[in-house]
Amino acid sequence: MANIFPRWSNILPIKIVVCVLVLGNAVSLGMWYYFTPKYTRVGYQPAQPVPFPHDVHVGQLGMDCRYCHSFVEVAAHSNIPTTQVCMNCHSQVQRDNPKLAPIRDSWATGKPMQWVQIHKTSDFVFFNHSAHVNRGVSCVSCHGKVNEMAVVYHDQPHSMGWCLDCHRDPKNALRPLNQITNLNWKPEDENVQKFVSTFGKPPEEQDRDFSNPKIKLTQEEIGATLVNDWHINPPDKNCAGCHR
Amino acid sequence: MLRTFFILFILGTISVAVLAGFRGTKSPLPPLQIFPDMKHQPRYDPQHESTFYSDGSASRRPVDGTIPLGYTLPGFFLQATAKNGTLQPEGFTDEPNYYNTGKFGDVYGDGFPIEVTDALVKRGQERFNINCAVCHGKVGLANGITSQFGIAAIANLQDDRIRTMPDGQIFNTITNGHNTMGAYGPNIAVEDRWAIISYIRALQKSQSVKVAELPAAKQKELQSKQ
Ligand code: HEC
Ligand code: HEC
Ligand code: HEC
Ligand code: HEC
Ligand code: HEC
Ligand code: HEC
Repeated sequence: MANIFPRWSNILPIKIVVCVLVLGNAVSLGMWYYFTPKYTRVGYQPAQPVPFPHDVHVGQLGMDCRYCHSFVEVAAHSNIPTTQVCMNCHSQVQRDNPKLAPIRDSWATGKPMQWVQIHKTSDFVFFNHSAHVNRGVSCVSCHGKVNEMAVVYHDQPHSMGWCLDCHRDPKNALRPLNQITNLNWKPEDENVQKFVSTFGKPPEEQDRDFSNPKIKLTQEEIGATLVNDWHINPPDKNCAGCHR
Repeated sequence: MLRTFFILFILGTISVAVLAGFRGTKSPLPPLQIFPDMKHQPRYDPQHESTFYSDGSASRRPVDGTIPLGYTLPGFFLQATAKNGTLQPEGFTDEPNYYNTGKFGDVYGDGFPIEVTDALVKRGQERFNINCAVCHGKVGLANGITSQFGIAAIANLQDDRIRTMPDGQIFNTITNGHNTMGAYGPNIAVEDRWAIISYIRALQKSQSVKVAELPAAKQKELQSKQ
């Protein structure tokens, strides 16, 4: 009897296995890389009705975030400023700039500006700004260097894993409360004596002498001290902390 | 056969990478959600738009004659807290008393309706630097950064006119604005407005103190510098 299967079909199963393996790996690699907020959210930079430049207002003019986002310390929601806040200055500054025409229209007609929302947690998640910014977490940890953005974009993934990464080990993100809106703050800038006298010494260096003003504190030391002094304990294992 | 597969595979990978790009690439397209689950629930979030109300805004103004949560009823101290034995309203209230308007009837009052403490002045310093310093400058000399960009005729808070101005009138300026200065009432809580005024008074004092009035330690510090 003649061969039903030609000779080349002997290695066909191996070839199929190789192809399936390669394809399967490529698909899971692609899913791992693309099907995550690190890809879908980070970099989202919608066109706004007015290309509001944070770098000009915060970086160049030195404005504080809370001039515009005025309720971020007292509310869960960080408010987008009203048209009037812009008109405090732009009734006089750049009065003829065509980029600002929507603001002037909104001021004249009373219709609110329609900014495009960039950061949006899922509706089943409880998130509260005031719980974070009053506990030493700076805007920069969650929104990136907004003070250098010409147009705001999504800088951090804001996935559940990302929230938990910080909640499990908050000491890498904490700083004294008067530096929350200073996005350029560096731990080295902190005055050692002032810090130690208000918040105490880092828990693992109780015996060290911090009287030399040349000592520079590290983020670890500052964070560990604040976690200890403020009894920071974010929800990490308790699902109901965020899914209420 | 395997060769064709690998050529197709490599072409496919390259085209996916070209089309989808890399993590962190800037894009104006909204984030893709393959399984939306309950990520968008039919509820109104703060400051969102509404298709139901004719003005398109989900935030509503209080209906006449109603009182929003957190506000007090005129004449009542719903949210009053006892501080040092006296009852004081907190936060945003709308009762037309001196604390909320800076006026007694039609005349501006002078003096503070709350106790001026070290903490209040410090709070005022923080709020002044956030809200006022961009125009009026850190010391109130009308040399804030925006004066270089076209905001004209900013009032100098060190002027005798402002020094002798009743506290209540400054309160009214913060709340409702004055000529070319906008209203800050919607952004600054009532207590913070009084805190800012206490800090402005401290700033004014700081520019006209006689050496003899300083505490002994500060006098020494000054002498050692001369
Ligand atoms: C002069 C007013 C002003 C100041 C000061 C300001 N912002 Fe904004 N911010 C806006 C406006 C208007 C928008 C909405 C337009 C946009 O998204 O670009 C906005 C948007 C944002 C967003 C994106 C909101 C979203 O839709 O998800 C973030 C995050 C943000 N600001 C953070 C900051 C931080 C951090 C600071 C301080 C370093 C700051 N802002 C200072 C006016 C301001
Ligand atoms: C404290 C005063 C102040 C406030 C409040 C303010 N701006 Fe500005 N803005 C300025 C100044 C000053 C400039 C000009 C900077 C320059 O010329 O380099 C400017 C520039 C701009 C520009 C850039 C114009 C260009 O041609 O690049 C835009 C857009 C703008 N502002 C939008 C806004 C919006 C929207 C708001 C409200 C959320 C706002 N500003 C609030 C002071 C202010
Ligand atoms: C712990 C992380 C975290 C910190 C710290 C933080 N934010 Fe946010 N921010 C978020 C998240 C999450 C959202 C999305 C909230 C939502 O969907 O309601 C958001 C949203 C916003 C928005 C848009 C709100 C909207 O609905 O359009 C603004 C504006 C904003 N943040 C400003 C700030 C400013 C200013 C600070 C610093 C004072 C700050 N945030 C600090 C996590 C943070
Ligand atoms: C950079 C660090 C950091 C990130 C990122 C962060 N958190 Fe937190 N979170 C904290 C700290 C610090 C606290 C304060 C814990 C305390 O007060 O003891 C906190 C507290 C909380 C609380 C408890 C507040 C309360 O009122 O009970 C909730 C809920 C919460 N976070 C939710 C979130 C969610 C949701 C996200 C992600 C979108 C997030 N956090 C991202 C640091 C962070
Ligand atoms: C720090 C806050 C926090 C805690 C604690 C937390 N989650 Fe989440 N969870 C989130 C956030 C934020 C999201 C939304 C992620 C997104 O939008 O990408 C989420 C999403 C989810 C989702 C939906 C995922 C999806 O994409 O459909 C599930 C399921 C979930 N969480 C289960 C849990 C369970 C179970 C626990 C307890 C072990 C828990 N979570 C604890 C913040 C938290
Ligand atoms: C956008 C710039 C700007 C900001 C921010 C600003 N002001 Fe003014 N302010 C002005 C200008 C301009 C005038 C002069 C108005 C006029 O022509 O009488 C003024 C006038 C005043 C006056 C004198 C009013 C009178 O009766 O003559 C006081 C008091 C005052 N400001 C206090 C404040 C306080 C307190 C803050 C912070 C909450 C503040 N200002 C923030 C621009 C500003």
